Amino acid sequence: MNESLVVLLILGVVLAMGMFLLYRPTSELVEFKEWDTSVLVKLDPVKILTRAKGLSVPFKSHVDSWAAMNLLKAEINTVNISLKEVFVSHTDGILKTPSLTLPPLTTIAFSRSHLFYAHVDSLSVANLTLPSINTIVVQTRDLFVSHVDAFLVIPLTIYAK
Amino acid sequence: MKALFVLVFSICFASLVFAQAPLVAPEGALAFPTAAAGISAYVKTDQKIVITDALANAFYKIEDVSDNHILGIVEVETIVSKVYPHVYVDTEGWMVAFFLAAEPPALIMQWSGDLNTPNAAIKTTLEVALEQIAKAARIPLPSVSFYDFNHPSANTMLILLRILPSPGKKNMYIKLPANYALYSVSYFHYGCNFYVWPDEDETFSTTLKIGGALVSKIDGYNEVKYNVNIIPSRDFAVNKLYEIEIDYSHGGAENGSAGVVFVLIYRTP
Repeated sequence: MNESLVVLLILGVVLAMGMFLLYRPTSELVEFKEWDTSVLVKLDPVKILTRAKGLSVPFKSHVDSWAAMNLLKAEINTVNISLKEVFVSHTDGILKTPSLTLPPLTTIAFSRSHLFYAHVDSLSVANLTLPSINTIVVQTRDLFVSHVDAFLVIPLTIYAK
Repeated sequence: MKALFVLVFSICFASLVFAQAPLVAPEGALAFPTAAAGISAYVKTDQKIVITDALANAFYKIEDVSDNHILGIVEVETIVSKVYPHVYVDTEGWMVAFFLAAEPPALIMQWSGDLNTPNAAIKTTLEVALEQIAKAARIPLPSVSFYDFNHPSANTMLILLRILPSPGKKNMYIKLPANYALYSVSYFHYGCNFYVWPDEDETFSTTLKIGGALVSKIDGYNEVKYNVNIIPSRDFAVNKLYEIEIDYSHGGAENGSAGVVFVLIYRTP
């Protein structure tokens, strides 16, 4: 008799503990009405652990003394890359036009292993000649070149990152 | 006194310049800019992604490139405006479209249809950005997941949409339970109207109010205009019923529309 009582008591305690552990307070729901459409989106945490390999190429471009005050990092645009060589250039307040697209791109220099590109825009396409082309940033693996034209024929300085 | 002013100004300016988390990863660092990202849509493909010219050209602007990742801005066009989410792609198969932490999550709304009869359907600009990049990379886009890197504890995003295809006033309601943790509330409110000959009075006006308080007012003539903003946390709390009112009027011909989307990011118990 006593043994049965103990077993029942243990079962009761286990049951009570189980119910306690399984208990969840009723979760209220967000209320919204009179909207045309609503969507509830689950947010799933994620960690992206990929590490940058090789030379990371942020903005590298030039400023000239005329544009130095106006050319902000946010205004510097990378306009294209090739498969192996990143080519970067800039736009500023004056040159921020749709003209920086593929058709105006001009190959302007070669080295033994690299092909360099720069841009011309519609304003300067007639004025771009080789003596005006300046090398502005040299890194271990990449040489960036850009142009000056008659309008911007002020000595280029290296853009300080 | 002048020196003190210069010192304070310099500190403020330097704080402004360096306040934004960097997007460019030095070699060996984590390539994805977790600290700068906000609401995000992401996929992990089973196949490696090759960074090609075609993929690079799908970007409106490239901000960082290394041997195994590319990060830039993608242009997404909606009927109301163009938006410019960032997109990150790496050779491991990760593709993430995101708005910066400082940008209103309501930019996520992909307004569709046409401005006289907008669709009352919700799709996100982040999904569209991923579709554009996946197409350029020539890979099928897997099912998209979402996450808010700016609010890592948040587990739900609620998007609410109301359209006014013709003049009128509508009242909508939102209430979050007391045991929810609310992290972000933002809205995207637009209005438009278009000149149709021979009508002359083609001006429009639309207002957005929360609890009777005006939060957005847009007036215009023959154009589309919009406001996108984050509502300060002090102005939106849990356990309180909010009435949202949108009003739209215009003269002249029956064209144009107005609409509002609310995006709430929160944690449920």
